[in-house]
Amino acid sequence: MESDIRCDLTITGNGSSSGGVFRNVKIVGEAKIDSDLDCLAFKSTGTAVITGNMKSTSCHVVGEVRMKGNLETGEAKINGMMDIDGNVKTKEIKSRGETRIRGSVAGEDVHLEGLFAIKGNCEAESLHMKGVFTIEGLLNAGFVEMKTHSKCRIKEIGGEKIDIRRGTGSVLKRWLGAFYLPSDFFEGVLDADTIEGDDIYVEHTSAKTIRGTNVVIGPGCSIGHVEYANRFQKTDDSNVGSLMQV
Amino acid sequence: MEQELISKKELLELTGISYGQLYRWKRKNLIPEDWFIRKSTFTGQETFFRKQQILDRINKIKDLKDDLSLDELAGMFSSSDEPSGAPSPIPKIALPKDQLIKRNIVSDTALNFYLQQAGDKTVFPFPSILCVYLLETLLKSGELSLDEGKMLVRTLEDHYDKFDGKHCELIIIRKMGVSSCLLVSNPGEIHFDNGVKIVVRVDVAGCIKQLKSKLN
Repeated sequence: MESDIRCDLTITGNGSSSGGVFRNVKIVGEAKIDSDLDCLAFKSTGTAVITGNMKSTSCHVVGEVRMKGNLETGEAKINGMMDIDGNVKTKEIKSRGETRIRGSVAGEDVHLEGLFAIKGNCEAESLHMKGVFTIEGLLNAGFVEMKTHSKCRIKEIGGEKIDIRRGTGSVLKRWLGAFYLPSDFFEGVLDADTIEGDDIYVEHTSAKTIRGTNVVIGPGCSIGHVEYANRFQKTDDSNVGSLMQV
Repeated sequence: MEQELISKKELLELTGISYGQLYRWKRKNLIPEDWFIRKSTFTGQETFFRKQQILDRINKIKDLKDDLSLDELAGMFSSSDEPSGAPSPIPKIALPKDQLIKRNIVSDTALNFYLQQAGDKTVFPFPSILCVYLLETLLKSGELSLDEGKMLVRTLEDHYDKFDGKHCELIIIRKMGVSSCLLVSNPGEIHFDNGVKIVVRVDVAGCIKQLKSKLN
């Protein structure tokens, strides 16, 4: 059933909808959508539970969203908690807070901040990540910029330019953080199996293999095997098991 | 189907591309996900490829990447990657009449013949382009007579839509001087009696691929 007229859906307070095709969807409070949702603009403040897939051109969330299906959207801004069972496909995503995705993530411009758990792969043209994250598949991005906090784990990283640094915070944040952040929050480390790229800079990382054209190993690394084509550099306090120029 | 495998490292050395390029192409779906074969080796996990398959693909990408954008390339490869039987999407291309001649896709004769049969058109959607293209190739090779050409145009115009992008085969047979034209969904077996001579048998999906590379 395809109708040309799209109506708005507004849920304020407690409500539910059976899903469908809408123009703008606005949720304030608590809402449950029991099927697929297709809309232009999706705005939710509070809690939204969607049991199907969601397709939208923009998606703004403050609060909590749980989704059983896939999310396909042009632009996504999420502040708060997001829990998605399916895959996420978006042009641009900005997320702060807690994000759990059981499928894969594909996007062009991806900014992630906070806590992340992605079960599948993560693909992007440019990827900025800051916080605590676990990616169980392959992270594939043209440009990867990462600031690690606590213990991060990514199985594989592949891309053109990869830059992994330890996250820092202002003095005030460090001081206040002592009360509510985990004790190792500012001692971020990354654990990876393989990192492959053209230009690689890593810091406080333990990896089995790093392969690249230009490889720079910063402080606090322990790398099993490094293969480089052009340039290799490392600081004194890092360990590299075996080194090979190809 | 067992083929010689090549590791990712060897592949990069052999083709002279970088990790970045490989990952970028993978991201753009120029190299399908299931071509990456993960195997554990004594140094940990390594990625392997089927040698012939991946080398062909990379050479093709290298040849074409200067002329085409990566997205266009991906569109071109996508139909050929699908296993036969799966739908191959009909590209959403339409060309005006004069472009068909100008870009050397079909000849004047074939086009005029088609126009006589199917009525005058100024804009050709992809199925019509395909129809003219098939007509052109078959008439040119001398396998088809003009009468059979008429039949071909009618059959394709009337029935091609029903395949809805699925793979199909075009068969033209003759028996005792009478010819007929069949569109058969692929893969399927088809048998004829002894008196039947198969004049042409064309895989339409293959033809779509050829045409796509010409159009791009």
